[in-house]
Amino acid sequence: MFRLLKIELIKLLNNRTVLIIFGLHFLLLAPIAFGFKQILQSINIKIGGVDVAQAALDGFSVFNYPDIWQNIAYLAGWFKLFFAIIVVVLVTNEYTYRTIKQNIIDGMSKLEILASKQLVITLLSLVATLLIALLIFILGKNPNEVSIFNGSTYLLKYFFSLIVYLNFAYLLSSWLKKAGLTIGLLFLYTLVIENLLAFKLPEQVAGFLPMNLISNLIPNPMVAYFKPDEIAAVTEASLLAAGLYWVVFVSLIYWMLKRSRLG
Amino acid sequence: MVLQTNNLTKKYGRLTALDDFTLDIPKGTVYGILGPNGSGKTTTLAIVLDVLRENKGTFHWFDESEPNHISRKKIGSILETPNFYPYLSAEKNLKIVAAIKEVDKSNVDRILNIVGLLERRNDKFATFSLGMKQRLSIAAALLGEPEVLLLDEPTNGLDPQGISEIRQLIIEVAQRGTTVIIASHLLDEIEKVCTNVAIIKKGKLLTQGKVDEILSDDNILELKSDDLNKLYLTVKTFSGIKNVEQLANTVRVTLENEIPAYRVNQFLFENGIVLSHLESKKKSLEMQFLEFTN
Repeated sequence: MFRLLKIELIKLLNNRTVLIIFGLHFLLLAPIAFGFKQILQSINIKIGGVDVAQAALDGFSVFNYPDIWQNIAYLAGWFKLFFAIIVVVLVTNEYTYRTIKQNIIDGMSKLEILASKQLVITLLSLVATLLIALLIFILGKNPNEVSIFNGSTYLLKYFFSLIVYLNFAYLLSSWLKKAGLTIGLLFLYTLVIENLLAFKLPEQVAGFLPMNLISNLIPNPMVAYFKPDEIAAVTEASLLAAGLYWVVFVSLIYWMLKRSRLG
Repeated sequence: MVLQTNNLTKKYGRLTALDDFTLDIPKGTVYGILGPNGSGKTTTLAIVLDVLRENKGTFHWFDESEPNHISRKKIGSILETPNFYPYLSAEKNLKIVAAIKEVDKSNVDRILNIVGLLERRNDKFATFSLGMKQRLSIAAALLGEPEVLLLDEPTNGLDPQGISEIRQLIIEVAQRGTTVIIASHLLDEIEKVCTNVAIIKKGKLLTQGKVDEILSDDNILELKSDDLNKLYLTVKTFSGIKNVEQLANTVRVTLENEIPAYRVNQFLFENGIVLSHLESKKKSLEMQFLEFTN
């Protein structure tokens, strides 16, 4: 395991594109988090005659523990695409440079190829989660003096949803093998195809489409504020379904690796 | 045996790239796989290196029952195109190879020195010339002193100096007892460095054996005398002859190996024929290769 991690770290830490995308993620996320309150104030949604944003801001500060965990984890969820692009770049590079073939010739098994990229995905998700935790600790306010780790499970859910989502990106990359094409399809699927599918399918089924499911692991804090029971019921089943997606994605990636022609 | 293939078959749609290909490569040999372009050499190498799946047949490295990635760590491969991470330096690229092969990374600088790239070790692979890229793949192949060195068209695209360096390398490596496998369409290359050869055409094995047996220089004699017909009939009775042809004004005799020309002369003289012309000719290897593959 350590050997595979060492190999992947050489590839990862010397790749300027990857480092820039990673940096860009926090460069965009941090200021938006700092200005979250202002953003919320500018939204004008009314549910049952109540201005949602105003009610939220009246009821609690977005930066107050324990709500901050959900608020920032939810916000960070919007920026997952950056990490997906990193995964796409790293995986498709191996095909473009034909280094996946060379790695196998030099003595890696296909299982090790899969495992090493799982390590990258886990590492990436872990570092992202820790940096978001840091952001939360910087921004967090505790006027009610609750335990600050109350609600930190939202960050675990973020970590988990990132792993599943990045495996979706890995799956598309193994299939298409070209960075531009993969990123294009990733956008198209996330923004268009799945929405069209969701529109056609019954509501209960649509909720289990992968992108929908992954983003619903951390529910919109505004909605959660008003309908807490409903949200809690959904996430139990969602976690299980997301786990199943992870198993399906990884199995498909391995199956593709096994049958793909590299020579 | 270092490598055995049994009835390997690979089809691309209707095309059969490899057809019941069976080969034994003994330890310590310099083994050439010779064949024209598109004959299935690279396909064979891709299958035994696990980057291509065979449709039928089996292969075994080092007499192991199942092919596995551990045995590939003992094989150094130099393929037609060097595959490295272009944004990484020579040294970092080799560190990756060393980690895959589980070779200590202290070998990296030593091997870079051997191939003459030590000064450029911190330069990115993308900045290298083709010759330097080839050297880096030699370096990668030699990391950890492999038991087998495998080369696919090793001199393709190299200048004369590069070609001679590769040949020297093969000879040096073979002297250390490493088994070398070379796939090439160049007869000359195989003849110069290999001890054994297998000739392949359209995915089929035509013949295999020791180079000096398979690619032997046949002894050809051209004879003339007053009575060409009598000469033809008499020489046919000489034992140790492979073939006799009567041409316009000569008789061409193909001798079995190691029969000297004077014995034929002596035989004919004893049978009352005096030669007016005797010329010993060697059949070119090119001609033989074409005979094999046509």
